[in-house]
Amino acid sequence: MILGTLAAEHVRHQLNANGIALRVGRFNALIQSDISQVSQDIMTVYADAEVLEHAPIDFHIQLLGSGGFRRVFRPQVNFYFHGHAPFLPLPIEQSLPLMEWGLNWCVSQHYHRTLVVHAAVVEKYGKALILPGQPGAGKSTLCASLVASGGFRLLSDELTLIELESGNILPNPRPISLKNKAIDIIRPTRGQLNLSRVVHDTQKGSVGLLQPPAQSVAAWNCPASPGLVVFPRFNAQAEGGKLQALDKGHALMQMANQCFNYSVLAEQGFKALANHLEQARTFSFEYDGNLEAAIDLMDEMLHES
Amino acid sequence: MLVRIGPAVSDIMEFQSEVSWVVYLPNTKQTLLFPLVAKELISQLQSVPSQTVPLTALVSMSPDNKTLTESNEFENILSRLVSARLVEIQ
Repeated sequence: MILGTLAAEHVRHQLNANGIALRVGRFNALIQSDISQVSQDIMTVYADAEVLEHAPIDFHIQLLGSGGFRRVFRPQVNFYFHGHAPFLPLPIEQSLPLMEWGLNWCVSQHYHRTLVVHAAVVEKYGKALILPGQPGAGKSTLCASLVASGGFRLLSDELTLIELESGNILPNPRPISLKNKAIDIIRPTRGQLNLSRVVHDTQKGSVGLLQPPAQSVAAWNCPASPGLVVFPRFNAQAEGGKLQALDKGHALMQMANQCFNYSVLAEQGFKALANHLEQARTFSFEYDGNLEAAIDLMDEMLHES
Repeated sequence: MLVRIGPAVSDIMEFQSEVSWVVYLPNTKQTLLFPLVAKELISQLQSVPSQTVPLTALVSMSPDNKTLTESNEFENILSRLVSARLVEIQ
């Protein structure tokens, strides 16, 4: 059963009572919340998530409103992970972004069966296209375009999970976090995919979350082979986009810097990264915002891989 | 001055690409990027029975020694190899 088939009132009631167990990406999360807006937000971006019954839970999370005077004066939301609050409370309007940041934190800090890289990743032709990049490099915008308009499968827009033995990518399809200008760039091209209400004045500016496609959600257990690793960088001067081969040694160093658990996994992490890169082609990519051209180029490159 | 193989060489894990050499040092959990010529220098050093050569001879042992000498890169690479304990200077 998927969440979108349940009545909104039932979801709100369950969230407030014992919680709802959902498959979020590839993880089982028990989500509880006493904030009514949260149920609406979750139904918008997790409509295709499987509702779990009697499944083991990976992460038990709660989004609860602050007590005392904060109930009425500038209400706040608290994120709890197995009963502990790892973050400071945020304005209640930011409940959905906080849940997403919290879920990312759960995975990056606690899941060490794979190498966890801060990168977007999509799949086509059975091959993965990894897009690592510093914040502002445009990886989420590119990822959203590839998924919404290019027929690519979303594996993750934030956390790339590299299997230690094979170097394959394990999917973790969750909503794509769009920030600031990217929201209006993607909004008209998103087709049937829901976009959450946009929350302004967060620590990352304005944030909107794009629903992952149902096909991507359903294929959460279908890994992708190594294909391309492309380091994107937005550059308005790079007319038509500029793709350059990148030495794999330099690519390894850059990816290692973007890993959350590279030092935890130590030799296993190095081996996994080296194994993946042995099988992939590596590039740097400056693009001028022409997303159609970028989609065509990525498609062609992946097809050749 | 003599250059010899350092103690870390026996432990390293490595990844070689077209122009670079990445080593992982398990003892210190460091990942270091060197130009490929650094690996060539160590390979040459390992091929000498004593695994020890005069410093002046080492640069000429590299297939890329001309480039190294001209660009003054040799000193930089050597100092990084020494820091990583991949070579020692006596």
